Amino acid sequence: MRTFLLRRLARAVVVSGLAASATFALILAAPGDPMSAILDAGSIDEATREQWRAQWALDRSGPVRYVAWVSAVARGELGPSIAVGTPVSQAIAAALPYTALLMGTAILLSLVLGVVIAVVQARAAGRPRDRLLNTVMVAAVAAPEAGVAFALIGLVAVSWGVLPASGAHQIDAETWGWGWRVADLLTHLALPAATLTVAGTAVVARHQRAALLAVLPEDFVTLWRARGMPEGALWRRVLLRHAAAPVITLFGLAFPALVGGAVIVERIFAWPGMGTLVATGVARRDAPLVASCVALTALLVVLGSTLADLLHRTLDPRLRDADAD
Amino acid sequence: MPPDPATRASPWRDRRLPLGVATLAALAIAGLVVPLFYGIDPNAMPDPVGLAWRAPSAAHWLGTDALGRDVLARLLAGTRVSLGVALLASAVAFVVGTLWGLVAGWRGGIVDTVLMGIVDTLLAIPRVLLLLIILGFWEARSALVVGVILGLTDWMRTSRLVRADVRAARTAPWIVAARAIGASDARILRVHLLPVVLRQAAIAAALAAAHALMLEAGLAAIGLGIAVPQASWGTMLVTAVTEVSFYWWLFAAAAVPLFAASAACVAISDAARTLLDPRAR
Repeated sequence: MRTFLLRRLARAVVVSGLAASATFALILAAPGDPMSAILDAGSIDEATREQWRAQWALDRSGPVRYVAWVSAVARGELGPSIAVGTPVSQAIAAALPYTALLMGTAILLSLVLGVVIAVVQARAAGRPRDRLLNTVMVAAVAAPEAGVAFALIGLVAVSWGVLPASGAHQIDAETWGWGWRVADLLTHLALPAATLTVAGTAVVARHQRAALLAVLPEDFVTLWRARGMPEGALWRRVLLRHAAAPVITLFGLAFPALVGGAVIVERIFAWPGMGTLVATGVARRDAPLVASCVALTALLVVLGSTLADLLHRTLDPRLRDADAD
Repeated sequence: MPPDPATRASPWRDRRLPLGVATLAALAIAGLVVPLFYGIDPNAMPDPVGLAWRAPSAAHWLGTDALGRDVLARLLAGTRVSLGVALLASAVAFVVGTLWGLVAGWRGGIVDTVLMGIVDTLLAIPRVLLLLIILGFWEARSALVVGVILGLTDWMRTSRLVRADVRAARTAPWIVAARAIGASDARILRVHLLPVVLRQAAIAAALAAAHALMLEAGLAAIGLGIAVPQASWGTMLVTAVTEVSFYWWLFAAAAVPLFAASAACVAISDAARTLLDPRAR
């Protein structure tokens, strides 16, 4: 067990280090630098540009800037962000709660709705209700998030005007009481969370249904029925537990998004989370900012799969002896 | 007891495959053939102000967009572009992923470690972020660039599937026999292993096409899509909503075929998976 966790930890550090370094190199190789948007407008003379670039160390070579960032990380800081104007750690700390709220809501809703739909389907396997829901779930998986987002904005926000489509707060929300501010945040959360939940629900439901149908014909299920276990208890205590593997795996895969966010949906709804932050960082060629975000997300990719493995072991005693990676 | 679907599921009664293929074929014909008979230029702006945002009428069957361009003409041109982008992305992902997985799985050892290490590293960077960074290299992105880059960010899962298949088949009797009679590595890969891995890779390719269709729209939504004035489903979709108006005809014209094509790709991939593994009903 300990070797398993240690090996995973080492792997997490190596993978996220490589991913962050690759990102850093790609951003430096891309045309433009963090000052291009401000300085390369045409009316600023060469000397001034050079002076500003020198002030932010942008005149140094790529490897020098990379080493500077790595040594900052080693000291436990992430360096300054030119794009945001604050230290990278502060920018991340400001964006992280919003992303955790949005992704947490979407992941939770997807898991609950997906499992409920899968149970409804599996109980009616092969019958019209199951087939109808199957078609709906294929449609939901195939629905492009940009399409869902724009349909929701067009109908709910623009045509009906009932929910806001942009940002996380009304502009004067800071002057309101906390009850109103929470309500305001939730109304802003509704559309982006709904957009992410459409596909999420369908992915969970499709995997969960397949897993349930694989468990249903097992002998031990027939045995429990023969012994007179009530159908409700059978589904809760036997079937869902035996069919939990795919949901756990999917949770592990979705886990990094709690920190990494969803770039496209966050940008469409101007949600001030990690997706928006990292998109700003890429647009402004802010290598330390983007590489730090990637390192964080990559750590969580490995952490998520490790968490899923641990959950698998808790639920399935047969896996506990195997110490394989 | 619910009826066991496995007893009913004959691959030939599976309607998803013909339905999906027919949908894609219909769209492809619409994009390739119909423009020959529909004479309006998708980029023509006879009156950018007076003709803007017209609802569907006899003159413009699907209305006009923000610059007074004919939506039907743009839809036909966009269909060709979007399907082309999806096909290109899926082909790139298929070829790179299959070759990568074949080499890693067959050679094993240090080659395998390095190749799959690269896959792990790339998979640890969120795909949209990778797209954002790479597409930033181009000032204005053509459909060709978007298609290739979409493919180059979606081959990693295919390579994992292929590698796993190769690892499993390495010790199969017919492979051992081929080695024993002195077949070269290249011949074993091409003749004996490629057919084994193609089925998994094809399922992944169908999904890659669906993802490419969806991401083309997503990239357009965040300003990194195919450059104007080229019409595509994604670039049309994102112009249908403004702060004050929802132009439903423009939205529907782009969203309906986009959705149909992406659902068709998912259905084809589902049907192919069922054929391969009857348990994955």
